[in-house]
Amino acid sequence: MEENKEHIIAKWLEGTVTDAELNTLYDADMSHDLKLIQDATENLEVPKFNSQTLLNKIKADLAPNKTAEVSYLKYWVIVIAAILVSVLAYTSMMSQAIVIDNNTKTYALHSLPDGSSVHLNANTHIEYDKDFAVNRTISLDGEAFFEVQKGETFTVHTDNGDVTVLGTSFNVFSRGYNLTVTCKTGKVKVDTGAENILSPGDQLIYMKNQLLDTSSIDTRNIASWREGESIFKSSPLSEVIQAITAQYEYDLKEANLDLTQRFTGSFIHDDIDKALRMVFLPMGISYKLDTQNKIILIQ
Amino acid sequence: MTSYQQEKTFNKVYQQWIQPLYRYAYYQTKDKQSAEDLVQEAFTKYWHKMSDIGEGKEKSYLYKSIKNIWLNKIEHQKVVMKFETATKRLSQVHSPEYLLEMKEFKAKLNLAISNLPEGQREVFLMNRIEGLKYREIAERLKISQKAVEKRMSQALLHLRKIHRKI
Repeated sequence: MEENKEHIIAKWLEGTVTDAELNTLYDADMSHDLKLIQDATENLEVPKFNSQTLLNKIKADLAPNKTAEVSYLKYWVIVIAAILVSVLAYTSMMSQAIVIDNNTKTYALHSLPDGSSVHLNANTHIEYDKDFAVNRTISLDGEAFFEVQKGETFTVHTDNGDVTVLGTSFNVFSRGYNLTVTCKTGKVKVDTGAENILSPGDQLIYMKNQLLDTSSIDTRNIASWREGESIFKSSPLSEVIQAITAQYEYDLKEANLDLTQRFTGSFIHDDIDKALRMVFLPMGISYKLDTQNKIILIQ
Repeated sequence: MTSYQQEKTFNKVYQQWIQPLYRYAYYQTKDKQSAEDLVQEAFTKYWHKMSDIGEGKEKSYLYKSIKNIWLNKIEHQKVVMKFETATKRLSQVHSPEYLLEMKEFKAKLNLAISNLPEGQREVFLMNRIEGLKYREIAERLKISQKAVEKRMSQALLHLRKIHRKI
């Protein structure tokens, strides 16, 4: 049948029919020509195009009135600068919220509508409403340093508590159940059910809404992560581990580790081997690094 | 779904399917800018219809959407595709005569493929460029595998005719 005769050509190309079978229905020229076409079309490609640019265009057209600007500050200590990093910043197309996700391992800077700025550390998510200038409330998951213009009350809402200021600069770390707030300038109020006020240099450490510690920090060390190094003073190990795993995008597996132990020291952002030594060596903790599966295994 | 969830899903679908859909759009339009416009339109339509499309059905919806949007546009003048070729060595050694013959054929390739009827062209390119098996092509275009094989065979015979100048 003509139909079957034709189909064999396609089947031959896919390899489900042999040369011999093809030759029973067609002459030698056919297999020669088909091979030629096959070889000639072996490495065809369509013209390249940039899918990210197009995605931005699609979103811009769906919501023409709202744009969020994200600007990058790359520090030389961030070795990963060699790799193209992307910060996903997009405006909500249907609702009023503006969402900024820093899904990279480096640091991103974002300007708020009132002139305040937010520095976002690795893997940090913030969200705020279109009417932010009137109601300065911002949701945070991760770590950010805020420089707040004087004005109406400015509130940072996290899963672990709220931070309220008038005009000031401060660092908020909220990951897992750990909340640490450090005030650089001005005054900061932290509300986790109970309220506390911070002055410059004050640091409050919370765990599951309980206040663990207050300490004094050298204001020059506040938000040091912007320069590629995270510095800790008497911080619970749980917080340090949250910070490392977010920075390097690794998981950590442990069985009997005492996460309430305190760590004073730092880790760098561009070398995981060195970073883990900086933290675990002084604490006498043994570990193994599984780089293929991105796991830190505590022994 | 909340708009945050909708956006997350949209982004996921976009990242997963943008490359094959852009190629498919290119097979239709034969022109890069039109292909990008077509993909943009399809995804924009998809955004507005997202709540109606079941999980797993996005693929065939988007392929169909691209095809339909394109069909509804005004008739276009003769456009010739401009394929790029990745420079790779052939796995076998060939005779000089064969290589010459292939060179001659390649010179006509862009025009020959551009002149294939749409149905044959898209199936042929999905197989040659993307390496898709006939079954997968059938699934994406929502036609039978036999129909795919028929179009493929016809495309090959068509190209053969052009090469042989019959």
